[in-house]
Amino acid sequence: MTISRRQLLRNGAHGFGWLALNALLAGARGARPHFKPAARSVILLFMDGGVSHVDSFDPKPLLAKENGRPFKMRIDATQFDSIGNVLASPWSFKRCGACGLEVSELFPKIGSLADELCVMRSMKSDFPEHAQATLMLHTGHPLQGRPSMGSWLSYGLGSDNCDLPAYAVISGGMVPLGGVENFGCGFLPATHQATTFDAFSGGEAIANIVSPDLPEKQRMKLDLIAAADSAYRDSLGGAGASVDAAIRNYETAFAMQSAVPELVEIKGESELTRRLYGVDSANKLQARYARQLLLARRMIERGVRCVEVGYVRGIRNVAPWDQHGSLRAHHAENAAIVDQPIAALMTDLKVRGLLDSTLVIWAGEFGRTPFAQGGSDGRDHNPQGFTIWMAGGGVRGGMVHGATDEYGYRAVDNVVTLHDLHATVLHLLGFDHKKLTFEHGGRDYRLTDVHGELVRQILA
Amino acid sequence: MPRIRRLHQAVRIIVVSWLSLAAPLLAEGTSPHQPPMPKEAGAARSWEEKYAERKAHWCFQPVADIKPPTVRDNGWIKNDIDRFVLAKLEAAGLRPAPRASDAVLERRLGFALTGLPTGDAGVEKLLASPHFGEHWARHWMDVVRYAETYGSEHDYLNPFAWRYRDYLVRAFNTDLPYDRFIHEQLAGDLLPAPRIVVDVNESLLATAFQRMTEFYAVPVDVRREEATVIEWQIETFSKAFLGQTLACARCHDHKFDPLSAADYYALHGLFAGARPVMNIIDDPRLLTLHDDALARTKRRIRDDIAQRWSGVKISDEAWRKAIDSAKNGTPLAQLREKAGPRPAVEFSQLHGWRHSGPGLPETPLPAGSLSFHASGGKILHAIHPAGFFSDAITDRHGGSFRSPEFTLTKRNVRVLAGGTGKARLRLVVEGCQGDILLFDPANENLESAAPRWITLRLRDQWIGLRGHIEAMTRADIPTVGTVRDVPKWVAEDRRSSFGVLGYILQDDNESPPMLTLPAELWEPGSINRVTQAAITAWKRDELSDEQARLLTALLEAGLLPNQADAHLVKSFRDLEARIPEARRVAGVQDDGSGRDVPVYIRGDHLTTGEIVPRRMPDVLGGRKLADRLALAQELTRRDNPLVARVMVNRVWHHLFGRGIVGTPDNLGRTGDRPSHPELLDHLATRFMQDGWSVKRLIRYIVSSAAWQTSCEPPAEAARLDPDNHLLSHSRSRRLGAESIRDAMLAVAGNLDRAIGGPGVLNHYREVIDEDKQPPRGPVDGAGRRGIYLEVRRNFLSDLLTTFDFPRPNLVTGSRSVTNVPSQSITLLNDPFVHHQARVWAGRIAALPGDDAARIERMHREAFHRAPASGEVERALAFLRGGASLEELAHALFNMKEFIHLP
Repeated sequence: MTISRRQLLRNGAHGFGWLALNALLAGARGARPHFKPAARSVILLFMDGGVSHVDSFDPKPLLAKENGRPFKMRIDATQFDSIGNVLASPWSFKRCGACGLEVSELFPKIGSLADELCVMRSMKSDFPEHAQATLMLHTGHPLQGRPSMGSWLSYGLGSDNCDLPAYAVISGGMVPLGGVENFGCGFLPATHQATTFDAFSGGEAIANIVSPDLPEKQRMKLDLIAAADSAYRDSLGGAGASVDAAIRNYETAFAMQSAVPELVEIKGESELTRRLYGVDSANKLQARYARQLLLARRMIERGVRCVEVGYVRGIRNVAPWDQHGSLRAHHAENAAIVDQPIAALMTDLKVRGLLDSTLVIWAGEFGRTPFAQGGSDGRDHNPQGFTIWMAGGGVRGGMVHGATDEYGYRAVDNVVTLHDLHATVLHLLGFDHKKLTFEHGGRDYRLTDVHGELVRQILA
Repeated sequence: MPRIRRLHQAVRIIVVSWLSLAAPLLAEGTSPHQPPMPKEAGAARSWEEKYAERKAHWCFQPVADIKPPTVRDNGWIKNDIDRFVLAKLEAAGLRPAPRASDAVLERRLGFALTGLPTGDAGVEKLLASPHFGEHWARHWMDVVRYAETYGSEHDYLNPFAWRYRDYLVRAFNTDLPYDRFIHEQLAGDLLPAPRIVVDVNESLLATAFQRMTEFYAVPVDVRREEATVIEWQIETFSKAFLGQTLACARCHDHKFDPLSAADYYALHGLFAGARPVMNIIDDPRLLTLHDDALARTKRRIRDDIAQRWSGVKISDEAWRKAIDSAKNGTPLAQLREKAGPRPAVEFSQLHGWRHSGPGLPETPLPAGSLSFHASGGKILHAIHPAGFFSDAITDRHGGSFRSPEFTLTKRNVRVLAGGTGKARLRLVVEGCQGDILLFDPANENLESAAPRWITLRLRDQWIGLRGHIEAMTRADIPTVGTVRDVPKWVAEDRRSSFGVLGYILQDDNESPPMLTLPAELWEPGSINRVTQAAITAWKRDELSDEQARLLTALLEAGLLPNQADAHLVKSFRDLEARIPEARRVAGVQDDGSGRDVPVYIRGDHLTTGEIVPRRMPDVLGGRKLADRLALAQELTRRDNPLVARVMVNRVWHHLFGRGIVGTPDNLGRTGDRPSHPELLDHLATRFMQDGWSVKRLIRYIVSSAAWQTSCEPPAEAARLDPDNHLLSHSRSRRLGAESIRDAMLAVAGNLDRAIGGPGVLNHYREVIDEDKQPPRGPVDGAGRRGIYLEVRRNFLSDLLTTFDFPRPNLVTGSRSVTNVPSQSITLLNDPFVHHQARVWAGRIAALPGDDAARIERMHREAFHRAPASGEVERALAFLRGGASLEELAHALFNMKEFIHLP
């Protein structure tokens, strides 16, 4: 009987001794997954506010037929409680790729990669409110305080790069509804919470990464600190080991000061790459989003485990996909921002041989109703049935999983809950979601709480 | 496979060294303090069987008054604590470490008692320091999930939550007995003799404890939201006071402990009756000091107006015109109807309504009371029919008024109400105080002083649910909104009033009862006779509702002059001006309903089981509870096995770095077992005998030899007790987040030692959501202690969270202590740290003496010791190498010794 490495990490990962322990484990920086993983990293492209599935990846011809007529199905309570008539999609759908996946003209470039996409049309959430639904997507729980999926992955796998965090959020200048708790580590040790990167700040992409000191001054300072710390450690005698790791952190911190600026510097990227993403696009918001996605690829290359790309600020300050009105104008505007950069990211990852080991998840917190909100030309929140897609590491491309009813209102075939999604993501990263646990307040917690079924049909 | 749970700092290091030596393996259960998760063999057993077995767990047994054991080495003993500690050490063949040096102990004591470096101040001085209360209040804030906002989507403000923080500081500073401390937080609104100190009702203030929850303003499912908020309250309650994870039983009987779902819902009923309100915490005598004089002056103004009105003639033409131009629905409009007067229709009178604040009278005012305009040439707003009016005396008085709960059977709740100054009338459904979007139609701002029927409209999904009506003056609305909404919240002239007369539930096709006028008005040419009769009745205090409505209508139509003696009005205004601004804080008030609720099967409010009477959990006696006060009193019975143990263990945890039970919020079967159960009982017994005095407990503990040992493990300790459960030596530890920050301020000489007050804005790296995030505060937090930085659930302090400031969404009796590179980056580069280094260096540079003297002084200030050999030389070499004094100061802040306590 031996102490399992995972148990040690789980307990030792917070507090004095962590790095020392790490070093002892013969260079294994992360913990070990339960089985051989299909993917080694994840990128979550969060479509903040809730993309309309019936206007993007879940075509419903019946809506055109019944456009303007009262909605016939039983309706659950909605956020605005203002039920209008059936609203046809203003966009037409095209069959894309060899697989013939139907994608609306909102996303021509993503559509051209249809054979990579695993489209899940039967997603279901329990919450029609942004904050709760967004927390549900990120943490598997509608209230603040639980660890996010990225934190669980950081806890389970650690980072492949000592100088960069395991879990990064590339901020587009907004915080999703529900707050930064969406990226929080809950009761997991603080080291697993997301580090937020600002893609547009130049060198200071993360807080305090730029020293106000000149490098040689800082070196002098570090030497003085190291000498004092070493003397202090010796003065503690047998208790001295308790500050060892804190001392070592200074060397890591010093290394991070150069690793982070190197990471965010995209000068070395080729003209072709810049154009592919749209970094210099005339559409300023597209250019910003492109820069975020390019940074995401650079992080994946450098071993960051989980990257969330926050939505770009500019259309609105909150929930930019939240079209309760003006669906046609604003969904089109949003799609124009993200379509090319997302297609570019997938293409780029593929070309570099990284797509197979990187799971790309495109998801909003819910979908939108097939009927209009009141008399408007927009749609209310719809958690009863919506679409997300995944691509890359370990999932089958060119497939559709599950279905909503003929209106696109409720998920009816092969319903996938967010717990199921989380179980599947953990599986792809090498974990049995029932066994990745953390004890807190007298019970073992998991990302999937007491729920979650692996969606086997989508595994490659 | 062994389960190694909750390894604490020292253990981790030991494990590391074991590993490197290919050391012995941990066998399951080698240490009593890391029990395996209990096995639930035979899950099919009945609850009764499981309960019987589980209630034998140690923490549910009575607290025993245990005689301290005898020891061999009596010379080491300073007090009885040491006998319990030494007996175990001797039995294990261990000697305690020697006493730490005076310098180490002084520094340890300063941080343990006040969270600050305090030089060589002794125990008594530190216990008496106002900073003591700040430090220990913050420990309690970790447990109660203190925050000044409600999180969720909007991060609504929890108004004046900082007053609760200051209450905690005062409670610890004045050594408020812990039993009273519990009573006030749980039931301060129900105490027969609230504690009023310097004009503040501390007991009522303390109920803010129950508002430390997440809250969502626009829930689609109101019952789910109510259940969520109550789960927060029960979880905090049960962990804070009982050290139990009772919230686990929301969905099912507890998996490990003798706590059933019925136990959970027995408390749910109690918390459901606690309504969120804005409590006015001033001693009412302070606010109502001038009420008698105001009432007298008001009567004289009335008499003066009535005098001016006697004999006023209203021409038939003017009267006819007033009737013709009256708006539909107003009383005068009914005179257009040819059918003649209608009979009065009965509607619900206001039985069992509850009020808070000084404005509302105990019983309804008879017809004839007045509302005054706040300013301007006109004096009267209205002459009222009988009802409850918050400005019975003055509209400077605030308050709120709440109906009993009733079932929402019809689409419309129509309330006969009036008000001024953005007073609010609203329907609260299942305890949810939503006020935007879905809840818009159930919220009305009162914009007419004369009472009108106001419709609060229900959503379809609310039919059949419970609801109640609330009316509040502007400043007494407990849902304030976001940062952006705050400026709209306070009425500029601080005047606001409302009146409520009755209500009725109606479907859409039903109309509210007519607000009748005197029947004689239908007789032609009667107007002057009827009016004069009303004025006479008014003077004689015999006005009827009909007459009151007539006088107000005539006033509004300009048919009666709206003037009073300027001298009288001025004396009224002068008296009003002497009323101090009321102090408020969001808290609770009992709704008086006393409701038992059913068990929600699997936590789902849509699937209900048996109704559970409100009572204590069975394992704590199961006695019936009438209200929260009864609950509070049950907790502090001497035979409650948990409450004293939990608190002395919390105090021990903060002083020793680890509790006698290593899991301070969980003494249940999944928590750690006590390392010294007899000592725990000894302390708990003494705590209760000492009048639940926290200061005496702390004094007792820090006076022990056990607390004063050096942190260096004695010989054999690493082998025999690697986890240091036996306390052979002290546990070295990193300072907490606030102490790291406060120590820099203190050492720099930049610490503002003021106690209490509104929170200081955080120095956010950037403000990315102006709608919800407050503006960026000063880099040094204005020099205030960390406890005074605002705590917004959605926008926490970056600096503090880096050093494990707990997320206020979790009950945190024991903070995690991480050690990660981001902390080094922060100490190296954060502007706060550089700022303090600059201030410190500036102060030091101004002192006389040479660099060596300065260096010596800086070491003393930073580490509370003289520099050791070599330190001055290294620092001098650093300065000679071109570094500034500021850079030296910054380096000293970055030395481990600065943030570490041996």
